Amino acid sequence: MQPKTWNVAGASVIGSSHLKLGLPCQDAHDYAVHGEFLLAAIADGAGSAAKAEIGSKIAANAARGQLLNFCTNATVDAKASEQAVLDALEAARRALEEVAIKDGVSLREFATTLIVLIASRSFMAVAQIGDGGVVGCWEGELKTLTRPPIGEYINEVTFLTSDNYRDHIQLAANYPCPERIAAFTDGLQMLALQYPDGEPFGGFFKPLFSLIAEGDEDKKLTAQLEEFLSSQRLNERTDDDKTLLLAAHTG
Amino acid sequence: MVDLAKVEFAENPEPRCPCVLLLDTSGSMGGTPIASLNEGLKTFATSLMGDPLAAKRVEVAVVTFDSAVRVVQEFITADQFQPPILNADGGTDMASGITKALDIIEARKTQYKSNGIAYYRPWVFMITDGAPNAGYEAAAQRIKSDEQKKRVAFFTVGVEGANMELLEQVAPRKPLRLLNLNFNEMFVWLSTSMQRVSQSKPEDQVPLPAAGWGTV
Repeated sequence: MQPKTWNVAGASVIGSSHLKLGLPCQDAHDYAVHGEFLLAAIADGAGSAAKAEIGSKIAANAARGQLLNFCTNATVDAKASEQAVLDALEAARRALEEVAIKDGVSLREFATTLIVLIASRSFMAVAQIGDGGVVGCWEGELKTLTRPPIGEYINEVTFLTSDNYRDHIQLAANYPCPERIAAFTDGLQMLALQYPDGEPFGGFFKPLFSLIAEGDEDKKLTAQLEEFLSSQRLNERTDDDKTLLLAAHTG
Repeated sequence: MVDLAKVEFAENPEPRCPCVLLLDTSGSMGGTPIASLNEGLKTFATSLMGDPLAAKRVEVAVVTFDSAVRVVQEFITADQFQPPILNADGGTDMASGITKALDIIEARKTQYKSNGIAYYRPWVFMITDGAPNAGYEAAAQRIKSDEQKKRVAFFTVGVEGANMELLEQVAPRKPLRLLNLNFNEMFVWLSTSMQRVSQSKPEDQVPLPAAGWGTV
């Protein structure tokens, strides 16, 4: 039996505003551990897009699939992983373009943000389009790797389906592997980060990182995470869909 | 087992959703129209208070125009907004009203930026029963330019007696005609729209609720 390399837990939970408007949860996430590699993608479908929940799911799945492809077929090093996360964004974009053509609808209907990451024992890379963010912990120190971009308006977001998406990619690569990683969509960003700089709020991440480091079964961790994201305490502060992915490097 | 009740939340200022109510208080609005408008303002305030996030995020300013222009209410968050009671008298200096509304928005944006407060694209909601006065073209040009640059979203509502044809020249968005002085319904719609905007992340379109209170 392969020793466990990563503890991972991920959850996407519907926001109360979506419940009120009769919308489904438009957040999605997908992840896999392949040998020493953690591969993950999280996505947030645009509220105004008719098929947002399909778009976010397809994007997350396609990105994770592309990362898995990369891990199994290529030489995986820090340099290559930088390209790999960019390729994962492209693969997700292509997947959306294909389904738009197949369904005979505009690409816009599948508008979604996307964050993809790959991490191993020695390096990690993140690529992001849209808002949300990724925070890592190195020897107890928290650092924001990618963050919600600052447009003039808080509701100005570039999506993977936007014409100029390539101009709005945030890339964080050539980092040593953190002990803990958190990726989240915008439903949590105002609770997890200190604005306007987007620095990690320690009180948010410390208990979550302790939890994921505990090494319990991934299923149990995921259940706890879902409970937390559905809690009244949290939903008094945010009414958007929330996705949180946590990972801790083991061994 | 770590207790996630221990997770703390960052305290960040709420993003703001500024909305200017630009209101015609000229003599012809006297009587039933202004009374209905005043009732509508109360409805607006109450409706916004009913949504906890909107109450904190929506900022309301009230600018009136008749022969003069008055900022009756500077920007204030919805949870502190006390609807004014307006009187109607005088002419219709719409151009100056428009200019004032756009000016206070720019000033507010500057304040937001210097305080690190995020904000949504501001709305101006103009309600009039008349027509633009002579010399309105400059104001109309400014609205057009601001809309193009996505600096503002400018909506026009014509009340009973409004010159809809001329009002079409004022702003790019086609003016709506308010039916039967149905201010209450209109303000509920506006409040719901503000609530949607204050929760939104669209590219440029917010799915606004159907405007059953008016027609294009």
